Amino acid sequence: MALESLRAHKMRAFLTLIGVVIGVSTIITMMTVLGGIKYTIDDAMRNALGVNVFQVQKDEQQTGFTIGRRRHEWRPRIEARYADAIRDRCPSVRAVGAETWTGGRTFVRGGIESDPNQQVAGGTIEFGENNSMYIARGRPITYQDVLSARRVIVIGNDPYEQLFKYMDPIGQNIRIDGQQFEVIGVFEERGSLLGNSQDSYSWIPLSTFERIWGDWRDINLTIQAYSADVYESAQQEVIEALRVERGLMPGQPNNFGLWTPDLLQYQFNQQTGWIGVAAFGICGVSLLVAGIGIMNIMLVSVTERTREIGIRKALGGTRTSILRQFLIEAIMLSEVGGAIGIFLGYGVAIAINQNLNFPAPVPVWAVFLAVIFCSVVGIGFGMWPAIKAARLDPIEALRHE
Amino acid sequence: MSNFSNNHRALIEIRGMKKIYDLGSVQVNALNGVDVDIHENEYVSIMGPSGSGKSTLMNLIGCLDTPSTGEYYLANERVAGLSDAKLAEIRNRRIGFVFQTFNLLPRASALQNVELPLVYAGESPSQRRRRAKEALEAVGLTDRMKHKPNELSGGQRQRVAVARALVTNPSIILADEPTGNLDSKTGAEIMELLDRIHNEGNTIVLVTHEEEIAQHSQRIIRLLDGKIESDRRTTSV
Ligand SMILES: Nc1ncnc2c1ncn2[C@@H]1O[C@H](COP(=O)(O)OP(=O)(O)O)[C@@H](O)[C@H]1O
Ligand SMILES: [Mg+2]
Repeated sequence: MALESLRAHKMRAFLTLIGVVIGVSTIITMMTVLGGIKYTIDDAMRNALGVNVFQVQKDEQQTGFTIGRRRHEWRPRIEARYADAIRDRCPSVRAVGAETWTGGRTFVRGGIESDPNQQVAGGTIEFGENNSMYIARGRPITYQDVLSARRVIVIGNDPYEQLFKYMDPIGQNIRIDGQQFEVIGVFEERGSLLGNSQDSYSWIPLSTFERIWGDWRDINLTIQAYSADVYESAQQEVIEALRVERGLMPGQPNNFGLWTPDLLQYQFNQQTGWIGVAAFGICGVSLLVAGIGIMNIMLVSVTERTREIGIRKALGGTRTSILRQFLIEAIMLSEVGGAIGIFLGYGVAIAINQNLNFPAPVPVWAVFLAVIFCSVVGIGFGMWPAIKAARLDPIEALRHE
Repeated sequence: MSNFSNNHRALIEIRGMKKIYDLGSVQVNALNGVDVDIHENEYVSIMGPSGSGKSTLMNLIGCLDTPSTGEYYLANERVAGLSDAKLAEIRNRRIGFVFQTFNLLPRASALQNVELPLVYAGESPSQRRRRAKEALEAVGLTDRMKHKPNELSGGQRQRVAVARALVTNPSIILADEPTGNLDSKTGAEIMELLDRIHNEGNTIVLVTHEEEIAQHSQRIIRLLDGKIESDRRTTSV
């Protein structure tokens, strides 16, 4: 009985349900995507920097969104030699890695070329551990490689597959910018993050890097403290050591930035927080649209069925039972829109999953949230029409044409 | 038993009943002081010209309406001041309405229409089905249960309405011009049905314009301008 009016006026019902559908599919999609991004980034963050690790870079770590380009005073670059200074003077520091990057390179082997998006890191021996990149075959860069600036390279899985499919690459030579390198290792396959391949990163000794591509690039220092207990003091020691190295007077501000995973996490949460707020905004607006739609269709329904209400009252229907009947209809109507919205949102989420390739199952609680959302809309906006129906005078209602 | 004499013995006892519609500039006295007793298993016709207050009286007897002044006792119970839920229960259990325009739910089948009062009586679905089928059989519609009202003739629709009025076993059947929309042959069939219901022990109050129809009853109350003009036993039957 409850869904009869819905069935009788399919088109009208559908139009009024669009608000519910949009609201619910937004909830589902947003929650799924947010969950997926968070999962991916958490995962990446766990892997990106090892335990008790922080970084030194030329610029400050940013938090929140920055509109446009951030203005910066000129700062001297971070140099590889700071690593030695930190090793010498910071007792809480267990290891210091130095690395620098260049991108957009093409690897060549014989007549075969890799894709042109290869990233090459010049790094010290700590590079692999600091970046959570593990060797699948061959060996990593050693202290000797760095000391003698050897032309050796550990390649990512992408260039390995593109240049060496079905072949043992160890001991083979490749060329980058005309320079020859001997492949000594291959990194484990890492998949992709938010649509970007994580397997286009290769590693050569920092000393070799600076000899070939110059020593003007900024260096990232990745520093590991002995333990969580001395993590803070390690940061203080590093700041002191760098101030001395960079010749800062007391009272002058630091001209370098410390980057910590906490801050990265905070930054991420802030940005996704805004997505959440936007999602709730969209939901709020669709709630209003949905509610007005429901209220409208229910008011029309009450008017059209005035005589029915009179009949029901004459046969023993109480005000309460009429109120309940119309409220349930409003809720059912809303839930039908909700069901469509759940399927739609689910479809969008799956499409996003497949295209961006991150694992984001639709969270069960988002479905619950959607059902609650629909009930709230149904009850909230169905109440007034239902009260109107319940209050009808039976005789007037029976006389209604 | 001194108390007993104070009890109201008629099933329906109406005293000084007025129903006034205030239309702002004018007041319409739909009922203007009506006293009437109707006893258990009586068969009463209400007659009178259009606008004389017949339907208003029926609606008051059926607890669909409340009087402006006056008292109404139904089976010794004072109706004034009863709650909406209690009035609904009286309509459901004690009273069966039959309307001139049938008043069936257009989208529900004959069976579903007859089941409706049992829904409000709180019967289980299987009981509902069984009793509604029995009621439809009693009015001779065994083979029309699944039909919607627009698939039935006028006479058949009124039979469904009678079945619906009977299904909760009420003691009072209120029929407001039940044959008004029917041709004389089907009208006669409906009257046969009402006679049978009366013979089974029910009380019937019937509004009609036609003397011939009124002759089915035992008593004719004539209304004029909201007042009882005459109240007589019929000669025949
Ligand atoms: N809701 C109403 N508002 C105003 N006047 C009404 C209303 N209902 C009935 N009346 C008036 O009350 C009088 C009696 O009506 P009714 O009982 O329907 O007469 P009958 O059934 O005998 O034709 C009529 O004059 C009618 O116009
Ligand atoms: Mg009338």
